[in-house]
Amino acid sequence: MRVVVQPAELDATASRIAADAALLDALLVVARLEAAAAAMPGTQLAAAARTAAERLRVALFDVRLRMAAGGRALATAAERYELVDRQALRTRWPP
Amino acid sequence: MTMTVDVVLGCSVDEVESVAVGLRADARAIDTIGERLPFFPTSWTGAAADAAAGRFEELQSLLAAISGVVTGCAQVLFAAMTSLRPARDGIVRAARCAGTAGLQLSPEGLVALPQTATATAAAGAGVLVALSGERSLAAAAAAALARAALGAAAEVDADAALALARASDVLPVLAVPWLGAAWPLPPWQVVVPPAVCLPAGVGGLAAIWLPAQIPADASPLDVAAWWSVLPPAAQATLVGDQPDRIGLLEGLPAQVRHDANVAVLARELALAQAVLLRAQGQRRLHRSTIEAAQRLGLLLAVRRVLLADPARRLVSLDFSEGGLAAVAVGDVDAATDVAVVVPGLNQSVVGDLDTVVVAADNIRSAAIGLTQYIAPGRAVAAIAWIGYRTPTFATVASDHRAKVGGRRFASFAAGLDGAREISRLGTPAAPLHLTAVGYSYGSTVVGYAMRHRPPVDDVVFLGSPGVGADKAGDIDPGGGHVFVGEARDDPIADLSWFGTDPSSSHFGARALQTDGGIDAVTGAPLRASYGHFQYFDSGTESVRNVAAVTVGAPQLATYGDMSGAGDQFVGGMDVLIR
Repeated sequence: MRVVVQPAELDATASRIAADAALLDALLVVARLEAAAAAMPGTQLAAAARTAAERLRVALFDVRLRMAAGGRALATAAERYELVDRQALRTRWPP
Repeated sequence: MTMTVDVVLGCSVDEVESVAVGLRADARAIDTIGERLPFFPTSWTGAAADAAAGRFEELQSLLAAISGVVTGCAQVLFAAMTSLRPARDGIVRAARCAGTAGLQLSPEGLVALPQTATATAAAGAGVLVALSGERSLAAAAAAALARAALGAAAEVDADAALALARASDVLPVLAVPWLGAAWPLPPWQVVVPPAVCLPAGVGGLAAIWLPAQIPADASPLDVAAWWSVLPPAAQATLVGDQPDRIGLLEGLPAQVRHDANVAVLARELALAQAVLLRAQGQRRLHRSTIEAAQRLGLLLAVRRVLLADPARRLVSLDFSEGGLAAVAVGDVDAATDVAVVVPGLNQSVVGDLDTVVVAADNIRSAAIGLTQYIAPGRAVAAIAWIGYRTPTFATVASDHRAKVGGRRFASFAAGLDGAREISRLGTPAAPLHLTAVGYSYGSTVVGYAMRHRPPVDDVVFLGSPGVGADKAGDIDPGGGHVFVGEARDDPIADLSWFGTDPSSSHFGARALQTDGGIDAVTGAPLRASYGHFQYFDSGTESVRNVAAVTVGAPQLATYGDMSGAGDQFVGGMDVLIR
């Protein structure tokens, strides 16, 4: 199987995913829903907003971890491809 | 969970709306992150690249689902606040109104004196305090508004909570067992079921729990309160979806009823015309064809009246009992003074609506002429009300139709007053001054209506064969607020068929002059009315005096002796009998 790879681009992508994961972390979805619940004391809607906030907290945390893991995997792959490249160069050198 | 005044007032609608706006921005940011996830068309190929692409697609799907849920939460919260705001405003207005009357709203929305509010609430009873006059009116209106607002708020709360739960149900509750696991992570596919896919836009979502049900068997005051706490979108939906019911609902603003009734009018015109077109060329005349022809006659009569003056409002359109209708001239919802003309014998929508509307128009024009001198800016409206099945010559001797019509008129008057009371709550606007003008058998209808104590301020009987009462005091809404007019040579006005002749001194009404003269206010000459059919003619002393009563200035009316030919005959008979 022929493999085409540009390790530098993979590395850049890994960095961007890490940045997006941080961006996801900074979103205030959960805090906003909790604020909405606090602004409607005594209502059923407040209870539902808290439940939704908790579910979203878990889901966002899940995604956050997946992105971090994916980013790490890409970075690792980029390193290994580079290593393979270097080894290939060494085996070809000296000509 | 019981909805209370404190819970509704404790809701910070603005804050929740700003949360909704923030959530929408968050959803957009999540979408952007999802769109940026890597896809390697050329820079990376092979088995590892395929595996990575598959994982990132899963991640994209997950982010899209989360974004959908966040958007759904924003929509639910926004729609809930849109619906809750009128209810909250209703509570605020009710509390303010109760406060100005020296009363207080209990947590359950009951109106009571401050010291009894807690005890009343604890007992779970209604308004226990006895009030009178304007204060009583304010208390009743405030209680109705609070009741409607709390009901609406409870409904919105329950339905919005359900919608929010559905919106977030698509997210699995994870215990995160794989925390710290290495790539690749255990996949789980998030699929948003179509049932919880929320429609775009607040209006669509609002339809999940709105419009509210039209209250059944509610008083006109409660209907007015219910309507006032509905969000405008829900009101528009109700008018569009159920115009037949909205158009006949006592307690709604006249303009709302007009919009609904005009929609019904247009629809029924098209239907009747379609039936008649289909019937062309048929040998047999079907019952449906006859009914369509009759209905078309009714509809065309109403349309003709409305087209004659675009400012006229179709306050009521009812196809029962051969066709009933009420048409207003002037803005009923904004008018300070409203006169309602109730016609009599043989006066139907098909044959006489235009005549009755002209009578109402003449009263209004004369009233406006007077207000320019005595109270500029005072707005006047008049309504031609054929809201009961008028008697024919065969049935006119019976008071049955007057009793039925009386009940309906009382409800109609309560609707006009209820709509006004609720709309003016918490504002400095004056209460509605309502005058019932009963003509001929219509005076009997009004007389019977007054037994139900409708919110009518003044009563005028013209050409009356009797009003079902022996004394004005029995049906007087206040002190000296019953007026009677009898034209020269009107035989009907002396019949005394339904109780004491209201123009006799025994009855005790204030006798309006109809003989003609000079208007003391405007200096204009006033014509006399003769017989039974000139009471509402433009420029007569009769219509001018009715106008004076209509604008709450009975001191400007002219008064005189009411004994007519019939009275002399009856008096002569009395002498003979003695």
